[in-house]
Amino acid sequence: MSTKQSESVSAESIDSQSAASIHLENLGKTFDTKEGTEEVFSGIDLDIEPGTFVCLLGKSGSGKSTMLNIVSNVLEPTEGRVVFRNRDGSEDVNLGHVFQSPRLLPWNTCVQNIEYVHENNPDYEDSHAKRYLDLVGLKNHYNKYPTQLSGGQQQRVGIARALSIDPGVLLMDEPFSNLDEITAEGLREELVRVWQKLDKTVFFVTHDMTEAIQLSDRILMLGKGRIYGDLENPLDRPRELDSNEFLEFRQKAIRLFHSIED
Amino acid sequence: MYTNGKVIFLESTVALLVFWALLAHGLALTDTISSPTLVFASLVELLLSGDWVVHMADTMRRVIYGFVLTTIIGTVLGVVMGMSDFWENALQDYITIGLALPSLFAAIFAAMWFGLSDVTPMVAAAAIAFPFLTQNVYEGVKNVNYELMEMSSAFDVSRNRAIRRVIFQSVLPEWFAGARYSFAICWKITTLAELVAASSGIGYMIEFQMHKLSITGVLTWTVLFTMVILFVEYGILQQIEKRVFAWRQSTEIGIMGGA
Amino acid sequence: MATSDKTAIRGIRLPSSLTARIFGILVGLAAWMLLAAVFPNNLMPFPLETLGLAWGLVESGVAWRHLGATLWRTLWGFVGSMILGTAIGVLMGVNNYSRRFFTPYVVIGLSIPAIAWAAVTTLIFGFTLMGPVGATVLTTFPYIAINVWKGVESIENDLVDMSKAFDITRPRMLARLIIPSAAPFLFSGFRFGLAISWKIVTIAEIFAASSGVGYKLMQTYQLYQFETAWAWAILFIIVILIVEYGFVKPLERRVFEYRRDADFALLG
Ligand SMILES: Nc1ncnc2c1ncn2[C@@H]1O[C@H](COP(=O)(O)OP(=O)(O)OP(=O)(O)O)[C@@H](O)[C@H]1O
Ligand SMILES: [Mg+2]
Repeated sequence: MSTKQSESVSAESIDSQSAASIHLENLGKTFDTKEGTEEVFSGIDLDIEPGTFVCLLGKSGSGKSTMLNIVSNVLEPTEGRVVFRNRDGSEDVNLGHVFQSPRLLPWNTCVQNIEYVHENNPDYEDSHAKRYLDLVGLKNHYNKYPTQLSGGQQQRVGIARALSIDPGVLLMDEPFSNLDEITAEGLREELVRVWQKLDKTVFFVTHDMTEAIQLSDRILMLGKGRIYGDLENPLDRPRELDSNEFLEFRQKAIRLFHSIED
Repeated sequence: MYTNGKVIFLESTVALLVFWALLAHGLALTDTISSPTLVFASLVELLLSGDWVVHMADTMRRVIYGFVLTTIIGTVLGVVMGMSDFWENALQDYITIGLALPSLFAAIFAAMWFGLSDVTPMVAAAAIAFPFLTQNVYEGVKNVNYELMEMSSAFDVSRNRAIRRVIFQSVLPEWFAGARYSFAICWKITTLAELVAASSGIGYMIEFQMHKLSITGVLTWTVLFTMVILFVEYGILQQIEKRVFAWRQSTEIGIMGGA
Repeated sequence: MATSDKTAIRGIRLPSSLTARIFGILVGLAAWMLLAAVFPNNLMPFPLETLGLAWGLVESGVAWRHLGATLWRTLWGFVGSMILGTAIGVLMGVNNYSRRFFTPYVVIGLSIPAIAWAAVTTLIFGFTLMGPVGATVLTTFPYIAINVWKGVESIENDLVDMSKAFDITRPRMLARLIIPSAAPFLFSGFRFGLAISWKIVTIAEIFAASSGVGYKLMQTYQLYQFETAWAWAILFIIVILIVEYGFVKPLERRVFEYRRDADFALLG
């Protein structure tokens, strides 16, 4: 169903900045609250290769959003720093954000919502926005308002918006958690396809193991203030959710995921 | 939090009084804008003399007459318009005009017809206030939640019970909000009508002080009346609304009745 | 959704709703005639008589002078109260402290009757433009402040965060996010403000002016020229209706355009 829509687009019609690497150096965050200080995590060192699809997995309250917000420059770290590096060594990297809810301006159409974030791009034309809407399978919805789209379609606009600024790194905080499972699964497939076309590093936060395995090259598990699990995903793409390899790897990952409790 | 709110309230009141006092004494404007101390002294004198009781009672009586008339006309028309498409269309234009009608017109025409009697403020207030109540009741009746009515019939709830528990309950808050709003309009128009045609009441006294060119007098009566209104609005009406409609989100600032 | 149902139903029933409207107008006219027949003519003139008198006022030019004066004061009173009300409303929306600081002003402002302000500003400013305008601003600004405040509160934090994440500058955020999202509230403040400004200006003109519709109306009352009062009333209502349907309603349509588009699309 979704394959048909995106076939019309060739990746060549979009010239894309190449993926950047992400480096967390001795990263730590402590919140000052009325009840005292609360350390979320500390001493985190991490290198993410350009072009990797990374999933950050953790239980509720483990600090996933906090880490993502630091990576995306919304929060200041208490210690350490985050560095991005392009393949040519420069550190000037665009970041694309996809949020848990779509966060679209309700009084603007799909195209206008994308245009909104191109403030500093003098070459912007609506055809640019349309190319990205095509890419996420919204060919016939350019001039619709968010209320006229389904939840899944709204999230696609959110993804198109993030991709349209040609980010070296795409940051996503549980973008599919508000959608029903079938829609979410379709969108995941499509996200992988888009990611394979465009050279992007993805930093994807989730609490859902199946989602992490379906999407990622690498799974990071966050808990008790540190990264206690760091798994390479050995599965080939495209991935069958009910294949033996998938289920086996899932078993193994779940065992590791729960090991923090003991 | 709560005490903090009180402190800020105090700060803003004091700020206003200080500003006023500075303007009055600093720029020697006491003749033109009076001053907090002058008004306070005159207010105390007025309160002690007891002269205000008669005027306040007259005004309140007229407000209540007007409000009763408003409630009757406003509720009946609202229900009729909400239930019948025909009457909705027939009366809509009058409601639109009524909402826009300047209050002075109502006051003056009432005064022409009824002269120096309590009927003048009563009719003027009702003429201006009832369209607001009608509008609210009418929208309340229109917006009765039909899903709840369907639910009721699915559970075989009797018609009477459904009317009492669903329709009445969902229109009542709209009615009360409209009634409160039109109450605020009633006392504003009543003072206006008293100014046009009355020989007692707050509106009459404000005009009387105005013709004596006494700004202190005008302000004294204004402060007195404002205090009474604030008490009625927040000390009585808002408390009732809070109790009766606890399940609804309450509005922080109640009196909106347009002048 | 509801809109679509209604439109469909209205499409079929148009004739009957029109009949109802015409019926309403006819009943109104009949009631007027009846009252005119029962009451002495100077208290309640017939509709045609009134229109004739109104036309006389227009022809002689008296109407223009006084309507013009009232319109001019309304304009300034409205502009002044929009400025003051918007400023206070924005401040109230910005943080908790300023909200609490200004709330008493708004609450007390709402409970002071217009005639009190009219008396005060007349004593202070005399028969100048500032008399009626001052009274209008002081009576009207709380209504606008409340609406603006609600508008500022209604802006979604999520969208502000999103804009920051995409490095949107403040002017663009203001134009594309803050103003559109507060627009319905700003508009209802605007509407309310305009409706009240008319009313207060006419009231203030009782004392604070020697021209204007309020002044004329009071004068006709004191001179017992009741038919003329009716003529003034009719003229003024016509002006208000012109402003309402010629100016405010079209503006309203533009402000709510994106919602309407969204509604219509649900039909298809
Ligand atoms: N602004 C803040 N001030 C104080 N504490 C905070 C703040 N933000 C987050 N925290 C705390 O930091 C911890 C991590 O929160 P975070 O939102 O990162 O969790 P999460 O892993 O994203 O959870 P979820 O899956 O529920 O979204 C929590 O214990 C939370 O209470
Ligand atoms: Mg989170």
